[in-house]
Amino acid sequence: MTDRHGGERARAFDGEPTLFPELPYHLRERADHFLADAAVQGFVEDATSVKDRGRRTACAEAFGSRTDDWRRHAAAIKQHTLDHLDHYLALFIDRAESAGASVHVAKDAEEANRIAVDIATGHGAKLCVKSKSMVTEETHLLGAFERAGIETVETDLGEFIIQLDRDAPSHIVMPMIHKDRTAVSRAFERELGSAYTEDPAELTAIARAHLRKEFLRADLGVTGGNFLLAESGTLVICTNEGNGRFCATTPAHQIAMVGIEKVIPDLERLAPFIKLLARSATGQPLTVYTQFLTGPRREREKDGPETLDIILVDAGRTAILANEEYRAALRCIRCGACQNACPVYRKATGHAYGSVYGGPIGAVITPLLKGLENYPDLPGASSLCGACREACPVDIDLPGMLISLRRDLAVRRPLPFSKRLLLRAMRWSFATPGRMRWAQWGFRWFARAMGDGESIAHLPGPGKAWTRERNFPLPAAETFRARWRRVRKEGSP
Amino acid sequence: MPEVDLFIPCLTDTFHPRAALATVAVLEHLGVEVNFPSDQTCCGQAHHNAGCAGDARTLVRRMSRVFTGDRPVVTPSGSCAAMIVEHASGLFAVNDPDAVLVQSLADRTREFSQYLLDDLQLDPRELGAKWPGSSSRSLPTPVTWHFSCHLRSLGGTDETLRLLAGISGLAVVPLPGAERCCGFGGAFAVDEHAISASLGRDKGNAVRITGAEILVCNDSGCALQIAGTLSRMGKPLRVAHIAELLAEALGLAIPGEAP
Repeated sequence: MTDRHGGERARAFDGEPTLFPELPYHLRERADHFLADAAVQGFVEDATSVKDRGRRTACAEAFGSRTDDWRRHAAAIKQHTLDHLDHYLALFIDRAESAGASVHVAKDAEEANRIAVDIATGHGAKLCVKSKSMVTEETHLLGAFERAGIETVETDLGEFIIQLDRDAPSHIVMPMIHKDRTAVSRAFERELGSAYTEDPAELTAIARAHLRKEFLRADLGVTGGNFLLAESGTLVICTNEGNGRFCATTPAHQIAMVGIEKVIPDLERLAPFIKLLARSATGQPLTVYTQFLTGPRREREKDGPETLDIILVDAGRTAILANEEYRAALRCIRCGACQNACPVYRKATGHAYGSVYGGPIGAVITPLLKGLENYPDLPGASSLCGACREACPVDIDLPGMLISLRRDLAVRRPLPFSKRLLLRAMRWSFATPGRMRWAQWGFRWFARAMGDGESIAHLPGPGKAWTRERNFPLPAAETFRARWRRVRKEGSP
Repeated sequence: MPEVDLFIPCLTDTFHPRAALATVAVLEHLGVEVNFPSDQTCCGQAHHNAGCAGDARTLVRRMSRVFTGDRPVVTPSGSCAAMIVEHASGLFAVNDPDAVLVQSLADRTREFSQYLLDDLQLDPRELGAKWPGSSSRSLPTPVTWHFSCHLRSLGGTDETLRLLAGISGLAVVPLPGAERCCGFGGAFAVDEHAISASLGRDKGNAVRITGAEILVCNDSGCALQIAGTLSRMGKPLRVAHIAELLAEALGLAIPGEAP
């Protein structure tokens, strides 16, 4: 297939293997690569640090000491909706259809794409402008549209550049976090034929001029949706660049693809999410555009699509919903705050997670959506530092869920032999203080034999992984317990 | 006279017994009677974090039967305190015969610095603690402090800084990126060793930038990671528990150590 810029597009979408690797996928296949890439490390470190600080400042300014109350309030609303999702989904469908939208329900990614392609071809759509949406990344709608011959343009600036580079997004909110401005300049120069510039204003102007033409030419707009209001059947879209609004107003037809977990009861219950979403994501008090769409264009209205199709996507969500231990993971509003806060995400970077969702939320929902056995490393890819939990605007206990996933994994298949042996030895040792004493004595003897009097530079077996880049401190000559016995027996203080 | 039970986690016992001895010395100096239930072993955190819920439950159950009664259980580790306070009860069904004991243990468990400041309502400035060798004419000794993630998860904020402020002759240099994880994470340090070691180096570099002579670190796991990293970087530094600094600044004898 040849794309309209004359470039050869042999594969449907080269980003596909990045987010949809061969399974089972192992984190280290890519984490070590990105860890060694100083440029990517710098981009991701800088961007996540700025956004993480921005979140703290914005939340502190708006909520003061009551930040946690707001988080818990939002969590309770979302949890309530999830606990009664059947009711709220049915209500949303009813009200959205009363307002003139067509609502479809897709059980998996393939069905969602098929419905979307059928709608698009039914309208005879030739050019689709698309705004940023994580669920369309999940279903890989772009690939499906291109295979069906519907030319599709990503209109979110970051996603646009990702598309030009046949790359894949690596962050929920900042899809091109692993690139810098020079990558944008090169992509524009190569694909759009513009003169090389690193001036942000000029780059924005180039993108704007190019995308504006596409918006006006397009006959189909595809959007996601940040929230669905059940009571009014309203689709709420929060964006910063105005491209989402363009996608939902100019083309004759609109398709919105939304995960079923995005429903909340009504407009009043939306307020805390609007307060939290942008602050958590980027440190802004509000997204620049917050758009409410109830049905397609009405007769006396000047703009908006003639038809609005809303595709509600399950794709593994009802399975999460059915498991009370993990249900709260569906509260996620895709703000990316956990990614910005996560030390492991910063080092491994998004593509290392081998799925659409990287970082702590990805380490939790990817195994739940795609199978724990397919992503066995993800639950372990966390130091359990809790920064994600603190950052999460809907109070999801991400570290707790990672521990539960580790437990589920250990039940399904035995831990690696060395780890199992060590944990068994520890359990045996901790059964009585006498055994613990022996184990400590044995360990001290071993460590002293390995060490140089200061620390250990080379541990054998699984310990090798520790001493590859660090030393291991030596245990003390005498344990507290031994000294305590000795001292208290002698009667001295 | 307040009485407490002392819980000394396995890592502290093995690697940092001096922190435990100093904990006793400081508590006794403040008029607290310290009991050390000698049957204690481990809180089960390693097993819990590895997903071995059954083993973790066995060890927590054992612990809840060792620390009965109504005395506060004080431990010089934020990490192990967090295991008991935040996670232990969740391992037990409501109708488990030991659920009440476990909940009682969780309710009574206190991290050392939080016990001093919240329970004893200690005003560090009234301690009269003075860093050995310091005088009004000498420059204060620069120290910095690692804020362990699990202490933060217990609601900890600036307890260690407040205690340090009570020691004259020390100057606390803020640690850049203090809120960031050191990368230890138990089995994570080995499972994802490259990421863990990289985080450790970031922390090690941050510590070195401060120019501090002592790093105050109240968790044994973090101390292993940071000390091991600094040692490999060829820039070792004294890593000590706040209890050790307090004991030294108060001129307290560490049991079994020559005064």
